[in-house]
Amino acid sequence: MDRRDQMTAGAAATRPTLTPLANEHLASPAVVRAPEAETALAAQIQDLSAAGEQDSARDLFSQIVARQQRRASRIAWHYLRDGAEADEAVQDAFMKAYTHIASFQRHLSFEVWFTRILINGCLDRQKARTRRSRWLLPVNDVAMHEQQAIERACRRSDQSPEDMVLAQEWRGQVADAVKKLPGRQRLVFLLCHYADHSTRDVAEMTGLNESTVRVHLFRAIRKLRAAMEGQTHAI
Amino acid sequence: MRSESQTHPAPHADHLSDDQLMESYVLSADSEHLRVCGECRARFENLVRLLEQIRNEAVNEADAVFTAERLHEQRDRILRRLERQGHPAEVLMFPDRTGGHQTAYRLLHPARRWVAGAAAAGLVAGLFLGFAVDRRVGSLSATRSMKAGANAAAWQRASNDDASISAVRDEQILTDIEDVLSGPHRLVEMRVLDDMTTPPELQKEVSLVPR
Repeated sequence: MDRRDQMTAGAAATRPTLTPLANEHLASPAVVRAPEAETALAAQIQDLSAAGEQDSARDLFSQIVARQQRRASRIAWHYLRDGAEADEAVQDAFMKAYTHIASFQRHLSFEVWFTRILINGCLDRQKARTRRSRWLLPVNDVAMHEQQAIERACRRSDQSPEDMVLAQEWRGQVADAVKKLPGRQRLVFLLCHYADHSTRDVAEMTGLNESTVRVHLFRAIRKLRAAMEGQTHAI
Repeated sequence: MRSESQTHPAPHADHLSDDQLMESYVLSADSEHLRVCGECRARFENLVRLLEQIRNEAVNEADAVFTAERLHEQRDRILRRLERQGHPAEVLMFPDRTGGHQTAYRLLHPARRWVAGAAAAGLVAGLFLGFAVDRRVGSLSATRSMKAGANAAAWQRASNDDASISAVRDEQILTDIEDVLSGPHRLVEMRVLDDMTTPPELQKEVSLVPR
């Protein structure tokens, strides 16, 4: 098992109970969620694998895949910004999780453990891509196809052409602003804000101190707000 | 964090600064001020709305790329890979008309292996001897070249001496000729010399000695 994967064995992932603000609309990035069913499933898969019942273990694991794959794909997409690479990263992360299910510690959150595997995979791919980009020209066909799919999906029937252009510009500005964030700030923002993880979970995933995660999140939000200041959203 | 809040001062001394609002958002802190101050509350709601819009856009983007069909295919691929994981990889033989099995057998036969080993040992020994002979020849040729160098230097010195002697002889001959020309017996001696060195058809024109 990868060294970074083993590092996930840390303190128990207890989610903090947050003090709600007076108005319920003032949502916070740290969302209290129900106890993970995936963790219980992972424990069962461990038992089945140990007993040699691989078929049953695979069936149970397919449930975990079905539950987690959309969230995982979102994270990988926002990290890599390439559909094919994100797809492969998600597949590899699930394979790795299943292969090393014996080393999963039941008192930890499966989601946190799995997300850490996924992020490490994405980081490796990003490094490889950086190395590759020194020698190879990027292929724009796929990116263009994905961009068109995004535009189609985000288009609303009641939008005027002007609104559509404004919305497209706004999306581009957000993507640029997020892309310009330093690596750790981007990662923390992505996990906290896009994937709805608490700062404590993100601290476990990234191996950072929770207060450090908060500082990164704060700085990321401040930079994004400064970048988007004065931009009207046409959606 | 507090030190950085100076970059965004509060619009009013009694209100929260932008950084304090963001702190409240990040820490999910229950701020008493937000409960009572409508202006700060509105600013906070704007911040939350902006971040929610960013989040919604990001989620829509990702979902547009990863459609339900694509996720279904992804799940199928993952399960296929999981099923294949337990089985060892099957190695397919490369199709070969001449019979790859026989070639492999020939190479792996014990007697052939001895032959191959002996050939390899011979090659190594040959290389070793080649290097050794080359070194010895190299040292001999170095000695020879040193000797040849010494001889060449001596020859050079000798040739230099010969050249100087011949130069002296030429000088002597020319001096003698001048002496003869300027001397009292010049006509007789010079006529002989003139006859020897001047072609007959030119003797009248270029002769040094009047006839």
